Amino acid sequence: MKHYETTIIAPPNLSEADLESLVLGVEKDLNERFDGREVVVNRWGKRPLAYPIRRFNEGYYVLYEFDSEAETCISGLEGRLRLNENVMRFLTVRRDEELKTEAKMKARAAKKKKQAEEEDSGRSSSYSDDDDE
Amino acid sequence: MAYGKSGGKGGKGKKKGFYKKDYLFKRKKYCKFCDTGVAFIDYKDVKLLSGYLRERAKIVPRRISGTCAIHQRQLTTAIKRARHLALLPFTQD
Repeated sequence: MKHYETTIIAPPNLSEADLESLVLGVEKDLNERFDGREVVVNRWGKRPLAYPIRRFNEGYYVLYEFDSEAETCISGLEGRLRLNENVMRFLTVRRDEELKTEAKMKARAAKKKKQAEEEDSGRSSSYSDDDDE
Repeated sequence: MAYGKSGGKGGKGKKKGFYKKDYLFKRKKYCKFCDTGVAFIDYKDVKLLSGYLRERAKIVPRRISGTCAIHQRQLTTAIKRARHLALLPFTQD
């Protein structure tokens, strides 16, 4: 099972109905066409863009998190997003590998911390020895 | 100890003005991500990422920020992803 995150940016001048149909449409696509599981929709809402896109200075951001196993999932989804006029930008990131490295890095950091603490305690004890002498 | 590193490159030709050698005290650089135990740098964390951009929105090099190789690589991809989503600028004037 692969875990993905897709962010899309919609233009800010969409009517509420259009926006709703876009957000729900993509969710529906994920669920029905592309074997998406545990789809989570996270609306960031309107926020300023760092540079203008299609002459707009703000955009409506929506983040989808989902799991899928279908091989054509991302190519299919991105193909549809590309054809959709109401999607200015999109980015899909595969997260499961990253989550794995995240766990690895966390373990490494914990180990390092532990080592440092042990060293510290060792050092402080040696200092106290010196004081005694 | 802190300025031991600066003595090494002293013979590499004289440059006028402030050079590494001229500092009496040099703070040791460290990777902030390693220090706080950040395991993965997220492209959605604009506040964090914008701290690693220069005035002109270029990525701050490792030799300046002191970030370790692993985290600098993560940072770079994170910033590039954020740029694609217009969370961060490509350039700024």
